[in-house]
Amino acid sequence: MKNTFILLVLALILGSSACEKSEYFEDGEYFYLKNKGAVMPIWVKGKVQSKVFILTIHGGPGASGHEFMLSKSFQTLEQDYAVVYWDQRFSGLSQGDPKNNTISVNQFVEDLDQVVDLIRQRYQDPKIFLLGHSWGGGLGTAWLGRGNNQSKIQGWIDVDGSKYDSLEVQAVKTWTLERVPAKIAEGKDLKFWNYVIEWYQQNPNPVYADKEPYIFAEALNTVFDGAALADTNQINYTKLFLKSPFSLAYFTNKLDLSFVNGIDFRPEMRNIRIPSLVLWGADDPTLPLPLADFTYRTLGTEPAKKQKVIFPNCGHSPHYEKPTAFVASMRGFIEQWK
Amino acid sequence: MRSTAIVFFMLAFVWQASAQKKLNLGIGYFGQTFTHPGLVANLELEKQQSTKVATLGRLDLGTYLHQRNHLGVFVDAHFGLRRYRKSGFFTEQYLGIGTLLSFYEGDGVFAKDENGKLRRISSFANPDLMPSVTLGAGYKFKGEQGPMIYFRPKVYWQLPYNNLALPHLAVQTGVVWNLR
Repeated sequence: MKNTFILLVLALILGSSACEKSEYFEDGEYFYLKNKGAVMPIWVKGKVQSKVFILTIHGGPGASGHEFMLSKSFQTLEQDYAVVYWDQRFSGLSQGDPKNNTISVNQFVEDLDQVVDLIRQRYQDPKIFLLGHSWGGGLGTAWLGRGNNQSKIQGWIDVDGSKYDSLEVQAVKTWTLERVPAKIAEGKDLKFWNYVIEWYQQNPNPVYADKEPYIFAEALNTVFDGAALADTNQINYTKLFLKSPFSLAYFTNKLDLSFVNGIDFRPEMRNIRIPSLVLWGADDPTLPLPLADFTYRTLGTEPAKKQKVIFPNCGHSPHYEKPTAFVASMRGFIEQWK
Repeated sequence: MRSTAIVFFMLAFVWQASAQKKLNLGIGYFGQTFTHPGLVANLELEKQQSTKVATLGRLDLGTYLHQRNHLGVFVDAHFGLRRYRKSGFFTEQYLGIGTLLSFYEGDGVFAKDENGKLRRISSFANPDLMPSVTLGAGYKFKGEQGPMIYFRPKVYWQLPYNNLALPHLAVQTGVVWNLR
């Protein structure tokens, strides 16, 4: 009898823990796109009845669209619009077992094309605004600038996007080497800063997949305040780990980045004619500010329909670092062109 | 390769059965990442090597639901050791291998058909290989056939998965009865 009682208590404790509700299991719709071996999750949250959808394309390559969902910016935007979070192949919580030969720009473009078609089909042709961050800015550009794809989209939002490898790595190099002398003058970590100079002397033309330039640039990132940002974007990590779609795939999914070496989406940029919004962090070390001007100038959209917003004291991720200003810019653009 | 491994372990299980002293049946909670709930049933063959140590072959059949990720159904065989203490407590460790059948869990899976139309398709994924490592602790209630309760953290891998293996964490807790 006593044993049965102990077992019953144990079962109740476990049962109540397992049955606890979580908004991660209830909010929105969560479905998958299967293409060429990849099974990619798509999470649609927010105000679907607005018929205005923000389709997000995450960076990396290899990051996760689910990260956007955790930021205050997108949670705020969900109050007015539907937001689509998609994890690309080999990225985030993407499942399946696609072959390595599917890691190509063209394959990612094809996947995005199917995501757009699926959203249009499932939600009866909503007004879609496409948003790409970092690598997502390049992928969105590559898709929009090909064929007649942009006719499916209401507006394009490029957030610190990567489109032209050789220009970008040189911009990072310039940004970094301009700041290293001041670090050396401080007299701290001299070995590291001298190594930075030495590395660039030995590698004058780095490529996208080189990790060192981004490590060096991040070491110079003076505006990123992790504690303040964690306070702004409060995340219940316990709930995320225990009561959400998250799995260890978030950490183990990996892809070889060499497929983005040498990307040059300038032809696609020039083909884009739809309303466009360029959002950039003034202190972005990963894709420095001159690239915002390059993006704005190269976009084929006529000046009256394109806009550039620079966020002061902000690094590579304005949606995370400057949620209030980011949302204001997004709302203004969407309301104008929806 | 996968089938060969499973057959090998099944044969080993049968061999173990021929030398067994006890047949145990268990049932318990299976929590993938602790809280994604499921059930597991165990059939154990326990051979007492000394008063303190027993070798075990165990077959598990279970299922769990990780909402908005996957539903898993698995069968796996384990081999390991159980060490009893005078107080009734025991510790154990196992290596296992089996098959994990998974189904994508959510509001549907869609793919383009041969006509270029996006259609809902089956949510069944693949039968994947499932190696595992399990540790355990428990308590055996008094009496020759007294039941045992156990707590077993487990790490298992799902492979292939995005050209790698995906590790999963789980806890299991339940009751085991001696049948004979």
